[in-house]
Amino acid sequence: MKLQIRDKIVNLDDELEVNFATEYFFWDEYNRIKNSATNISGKKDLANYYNALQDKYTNGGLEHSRKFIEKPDDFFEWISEDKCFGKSKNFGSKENLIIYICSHAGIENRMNLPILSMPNRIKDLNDRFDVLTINEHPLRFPESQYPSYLVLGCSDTHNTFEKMCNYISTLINKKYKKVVVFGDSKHAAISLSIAHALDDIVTNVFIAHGQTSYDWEESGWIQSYIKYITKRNKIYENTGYLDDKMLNDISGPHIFHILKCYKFKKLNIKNEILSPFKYHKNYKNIDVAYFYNKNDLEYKPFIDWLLKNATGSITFNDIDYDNKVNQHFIKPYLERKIIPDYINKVILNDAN
Amino acid sequence: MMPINNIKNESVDNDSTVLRGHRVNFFDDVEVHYMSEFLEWEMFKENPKRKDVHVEKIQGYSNRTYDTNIWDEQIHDCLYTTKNYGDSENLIIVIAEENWLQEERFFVPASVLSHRKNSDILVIKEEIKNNTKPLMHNLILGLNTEYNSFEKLCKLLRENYVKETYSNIVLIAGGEVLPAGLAIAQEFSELIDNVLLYDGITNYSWLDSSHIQMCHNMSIKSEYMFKKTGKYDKSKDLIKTTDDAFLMLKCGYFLRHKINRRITSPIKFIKDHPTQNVEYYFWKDTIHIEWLRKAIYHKSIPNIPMTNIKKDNPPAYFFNNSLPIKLHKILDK
Repeated sequence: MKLQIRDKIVNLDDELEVNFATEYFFWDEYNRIKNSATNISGKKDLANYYNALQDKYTNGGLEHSRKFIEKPDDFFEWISEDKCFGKSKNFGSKENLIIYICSHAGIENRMNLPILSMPNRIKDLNDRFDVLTINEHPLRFPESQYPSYLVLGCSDTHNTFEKMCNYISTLINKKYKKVVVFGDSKHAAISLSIAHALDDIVTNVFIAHGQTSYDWEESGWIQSYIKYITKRNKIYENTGYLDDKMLNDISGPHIFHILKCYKFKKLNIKNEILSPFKYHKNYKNIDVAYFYNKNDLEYKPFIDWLLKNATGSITFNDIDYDNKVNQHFIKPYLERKIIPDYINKVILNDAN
Repeated sequence: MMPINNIKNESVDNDSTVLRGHRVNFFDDVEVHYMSEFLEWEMFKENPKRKDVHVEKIQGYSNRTYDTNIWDEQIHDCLYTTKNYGDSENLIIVIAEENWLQEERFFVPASVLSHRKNSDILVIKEEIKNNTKPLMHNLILGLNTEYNSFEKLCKLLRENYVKETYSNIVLIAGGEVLPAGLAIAQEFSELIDNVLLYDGITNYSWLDSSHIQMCHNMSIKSEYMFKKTGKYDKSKDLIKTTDDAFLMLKCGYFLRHKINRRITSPIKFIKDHPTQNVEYYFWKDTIHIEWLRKAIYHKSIPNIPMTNIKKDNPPAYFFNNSLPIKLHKILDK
């Protein structure tokens, strides 16, 4: 299948072309960051990103980034050799468990942020919870593989969803009262898939709004984009007018979502993994709390699809939060205002 | 036609240019390399059969092999010598291009290999890993991350491989590594008497090529007109092929790194090495040969012996006929 994305027509069936396209769109992202770096913190971020990229291009490959990515952490200790799993120190001493799925490393941060990054407010729950973190390794090969949203596992060792989930099961050796999976943004759907795969231990899932399906036929972003492209072509045939608004405005994450989901389609990944919300009715012992911001227009197709297709015990919460800079970035608000209450009132009350 | 100097607020200096509709700043390494990735993509679209080439580059290593019965690997994926190197009185230096069309890691013509009995052979190539993400440097910026400059490469050769004990040394270079090959020969001009060059790029110097400067000016102007009128006039784009675009990118990159013109444009300095015999065999009518002809016509370089091979398969003719005769004359006298 050939699809126009920005100014390029990409043959999605050709892995190599997708790789080139990924690099090309990385370039766009780099220019976007470069042009928007107006304040000191933006310039600092740009400098870090630039240095990482320069190292990459000077030395060839991403190996030099390993020292930043695999930096030891005071809070966690490594469990696996691939450095994708970390557990809090004194793991196993608490009655409840948090499984935290990291989404912090976007395209610009994947080469210079430690893999074990976690918000302090989650770390502060350490007195009541064991904490287990799962990260996708940014140095997977080929580069265009990252991020696979954990659908293709988290590393070259645990390279399928099933292998990854089996490995998580082996890490949890005791009976917890409550096991909560935290996930957000690009991992919104996969967090629930992981919970489903571990349904004998997981009791709750906390999701901050993001990509609710990675299925080519169901993903809000893909369907809205294909609809736009079809309409654009029809208008052009009839009137000669080219409506390029969405072509120009499409965001980096949106593009990478399209490229990845087509790959999942080619690989015949099970729909239960890609669109878990449709199957949640089969998991009655897992409660899902889903938080979204109705002002987040970019991710609106996902919530629209979700409200129509979700099944089972899911509570939807519109937080009505107005972040002028980035409406999608609700995580800090959730950590500040929602998570403490959620932990105390929903999780720990139930547990007691 | 609007004079180029009338374009305000846009750089017409040599710090950036416009290639395939994208402005690229030579002082931004990242941008240069993203551009080279983009041009690679264009090349792949032009010639999808060379998929394995691109896969190797992305992987950063080559699965290709070399004949261990003939060669000793001195530096991984960079320097190869024949067995018992140092025993013969003749030396043939082959500056090897990446040999994408064959299974071997590098290509040494059979006519060169046939001289193994009376000559040492040294093969110099750039490490593939060095070429993975960065722009292809074609030996102008050294062999690999350790020997990452032309000077370091020459020092390595002088200390270990190119010795005064040889009575005859021949250097063979062509294609994209022609300038680097000739520059090495000139660096060792007191030892290397004969240089055989074949069809390739004649210089990587931005300042020495009027064609590149014209392409640059026209592309800047096209960008300006596009912004002004929304129309793109394809006829004004002088960068016709992806190879040309790559050449401009490389020339700009080397200029920004202030690489000496003796390395990027060694043909201009042939006159400084009168004892060295340089011969040039070519078969494609390209901007490079045009540059060479003009330079000879304007007497900016001496009249070097040039042979235009007009046969059905000129590369095969050169490697199977012209080269063996030349080598025989030089080495078997």
